[in-house]
Amino acid sequence: MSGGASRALRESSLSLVFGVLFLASLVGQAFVGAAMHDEDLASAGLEPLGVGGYVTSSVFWVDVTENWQSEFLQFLLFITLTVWFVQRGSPESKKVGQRGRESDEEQLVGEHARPDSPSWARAGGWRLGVYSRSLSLVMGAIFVGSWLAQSAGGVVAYNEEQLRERHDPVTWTEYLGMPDFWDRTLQNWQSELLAVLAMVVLAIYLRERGSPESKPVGLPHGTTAVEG
Amino acid sequence: MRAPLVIFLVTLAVIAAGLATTFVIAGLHR
Repeated sequence: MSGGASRALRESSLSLVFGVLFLASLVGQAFVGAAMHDEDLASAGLEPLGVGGYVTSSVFWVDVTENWQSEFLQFLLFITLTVWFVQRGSPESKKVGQRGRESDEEQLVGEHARPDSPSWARAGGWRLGVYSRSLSLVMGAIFVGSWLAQSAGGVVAYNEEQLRERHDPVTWTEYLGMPDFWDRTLQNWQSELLAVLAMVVLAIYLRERGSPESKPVGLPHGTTAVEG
Repeated sequence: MRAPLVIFLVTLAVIAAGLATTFVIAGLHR
C-alpha cells in the first residue's frame, strides 16, 4: 500500500472501525435472527425461511429500523437540546453562560467567516440558515424515515403473526395505535435516553485518559465544556 | 479531505438502502 493511502486510512480509522463493527453486527444479527425465527416457524409447524428469506422479510427489517430510529433520535436530541440546556461540569455540555445559538462572530458565519470556511457559512440568507441546522435536519430526516420504516415493517411482521394464529390482520393506521408498535418504540427510546443521561452526568466525575469524550484526568469536576 | 467525504456518502447510502429495502419489502408483503 502506498504511504498516502495508508495515511488516509489512519486518518479515518475511527469511521472505518465503526463501519466494520456496524457491518459485522448487522451480519451477525441476520444469522442469529434467522436461526431464532426458523425455530419459531418450526414450532408452529411451518417451513424455515433460512438466512436469505429472513433478511428479505419484514421481521428482520422491523428489528433493524426500530433500533436505527432510536439511535438517530438520541443524537438528534443530543445535538439540539445541548444548544439550550446545559450541565455544569459535563464535557458534553457547553458553558453555562453560552446557552442559545450564539453570535455570528462566535460561529464564524456571514461577515465573520474565514477564507477557508464552508461556502454556505459565508453565503448568509437561506443557505446559512439551512447549513446552520444541517446536522439536526439530516439526523432528524433519518430518524423520521427509520421510524416510518419501523411502522411499515412492523405492521407486516405483526400481521404475519396474526394470520398464523388465525386472527384478523390490522391496517397501518390501526397498528400505529397498538401496543406492539409502541413497545418496540419505547423500549428503544428509554435505553437511549438513559445512556445519554449517564454520559452527561458520569462524565462530570469520571475520566478516560486520552478520550475526547472525557475531560483531562486532572481537571476539576466543576469545569464545564472542556474535552480531553 | 476525500476519504471522510466518501465514508460520509457511503454511510448515507447504506441508511437510504436499508430504509428503501424495508419499505419495498413491507409493500410487497401487504
